[in-house]
Amino acid sequence: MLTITLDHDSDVPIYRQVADGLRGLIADGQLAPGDALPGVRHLGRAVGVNLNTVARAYRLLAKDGLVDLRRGAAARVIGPPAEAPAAVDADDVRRLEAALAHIALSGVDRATVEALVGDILDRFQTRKPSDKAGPR
Amino acid sequence: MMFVTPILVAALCGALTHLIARVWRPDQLFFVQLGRELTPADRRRSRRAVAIGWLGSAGSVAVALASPGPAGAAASAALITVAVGWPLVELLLLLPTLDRPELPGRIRIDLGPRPGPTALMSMPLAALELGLLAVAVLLFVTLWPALPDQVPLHFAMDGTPDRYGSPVELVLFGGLVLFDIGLAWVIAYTVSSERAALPEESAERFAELQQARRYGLVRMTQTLLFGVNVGLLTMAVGIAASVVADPLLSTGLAVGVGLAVVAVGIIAPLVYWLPRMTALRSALDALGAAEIGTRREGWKLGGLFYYAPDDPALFVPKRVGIGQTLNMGRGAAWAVIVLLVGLPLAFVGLMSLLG
Repeated sequence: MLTITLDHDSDVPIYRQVADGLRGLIADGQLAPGDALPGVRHLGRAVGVNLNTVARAYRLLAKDGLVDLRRGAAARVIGPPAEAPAAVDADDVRRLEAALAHIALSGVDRATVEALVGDILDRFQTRKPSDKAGPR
Repeated sequence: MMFVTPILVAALCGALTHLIARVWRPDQLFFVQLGRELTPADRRRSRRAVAIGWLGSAGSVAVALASPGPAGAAASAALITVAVGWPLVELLLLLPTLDRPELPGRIRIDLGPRPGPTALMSMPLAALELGLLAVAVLLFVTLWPALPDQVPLHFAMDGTPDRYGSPVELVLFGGLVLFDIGLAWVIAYTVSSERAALPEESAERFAELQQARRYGLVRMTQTLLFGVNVGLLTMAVGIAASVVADPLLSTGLAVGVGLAVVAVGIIAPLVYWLPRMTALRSALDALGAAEIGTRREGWKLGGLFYYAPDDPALFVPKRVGIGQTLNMGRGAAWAVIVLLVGLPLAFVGLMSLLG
C-alpha cells in the first residue's frame, strides 16, 4: 500500500509534509521513474485539503527536479539526475543539522543515531560512488 | 390541510414505529447517538422521553378522533410535535456532555488508485435493470394504442379502483425508475470518492474494512433500488396490460403484486446487508478511527456540525454516533439539503394535487 503520513499537530505546513512524503516514496523506490503521481484533485480529496495545497507540493517537487509537471498530463516521477551534485544542498544541511541537534539534546547516544541514519540511507538506496549514471 | 395531513400521518407512523421498538428497552433511546456506556442519568432521560413520546402520540390520536374539526387537528398536531420533538431536545441537551476522544494528529493517506463506481456496483444487475426497463417500455408502447382514455390509477384497500385518470400518468413510473437508476450511480460515485485517510496504526486492516464497507453500502442501495424499480415497472405494465387484456382481470392485483415486489425488494437487501454493515462498522470503530481525517477545527457546537470550507469532502464520518454528515462549508451540502427536504415535499404536494 502506497501511503504517506501527515501530522496535523506539526508546525510543518501540510504542503511541505505532502512533498516530504512523496519525496520519501521516490527515494525508497516505491515510486519509480516514469510512475504517475496521483491527480491533484484526487490527492486533495484523500488528504482533505484544498487542491492548491497539493499543487504547491507538486511544484516544490518539480523545482527539486524530482517530478515532471506538464500541463494536461499526469505529474510523473523523473529519475535522479545523471550527475551527482558536488555538494549537499545547503537547505538540506541546515534541516539535517536542526534534526540532529534536536536528537542530540534529547540524549540519544551516537551509535543509535548513526544506526538510524544508516537504516534510512539503506532504505533510500543512495547511489554508491561507482554508479556513474542514474536509471534515466 | 391537503399538504399537512400526509406529513402528519407520516410523522405519526414514524414516531409510533420508533416508540414500539422502545417498549422493551425504554432506557436505551440514545444508545446509538451516544455510543458510550449509558449512565443512570442517560437511562432516566431516555425513559422520560419514551414516556412523553407515548403519551403525546396516544393523546394526538385520541384528540384527532374525539374532535375532527380544525381545532382538534391543531391540538393533535401540537401533541405529536411534543411527542417527536421531546426526545430530540433531550438528545441535544445530552450532546455537550459527551467526552469525545481527541482526533489523532497523525494520519496515513492511501495514494493508490481507488475502485471507481463501476467496480463497486454490480454491472450485471445494472444491465439487467436497463434490460427490464427496455422490455417494460416496449410492452408499454405496444399496449399504448389499445389503452382507453381513462385507466384506474388509485385503489382502495380491497383492490377496487377509486380514482381514474389519463394513461399518461403511468409514464410517471418510468420517470421514477430513471431517477432511481441515477440515484444508485450518484451514491456509488459519492462512496467511491470518499476520503482515503487511515489511522497510523493498523492502516492496512482499516483500508480493507473501509473498502468492504464501501462495497456493501453500494451493493445494498443498488439491490434495494433494483427491487423498487422492478416493482414500479410491474405496476405500470401490469395496470396497462390488465386494462387492455381483460376488463374483468383486476388491475388491483397488478398493483398488489407490484407493491409486494417493492416490499421484498426493500426488505431482502436490508436483511442481508444490515447485519454485515453493522459488524464492519464496529470493527472500524474498534480500530478507533470513526472520524479520521476530518479537521479538528471544522467540528462546531461540540461536534454537531462540520464546517470546513478548505476540506474538499462533501460527506465526512460523523463525530457523534454512526454514519456520515455533510460538510456545511461546501455549497453542494446546501444543495443536498434543499434536495432532501424539497423532493419529499414536492412528491407529497404532487400526490395531494393528483389525489
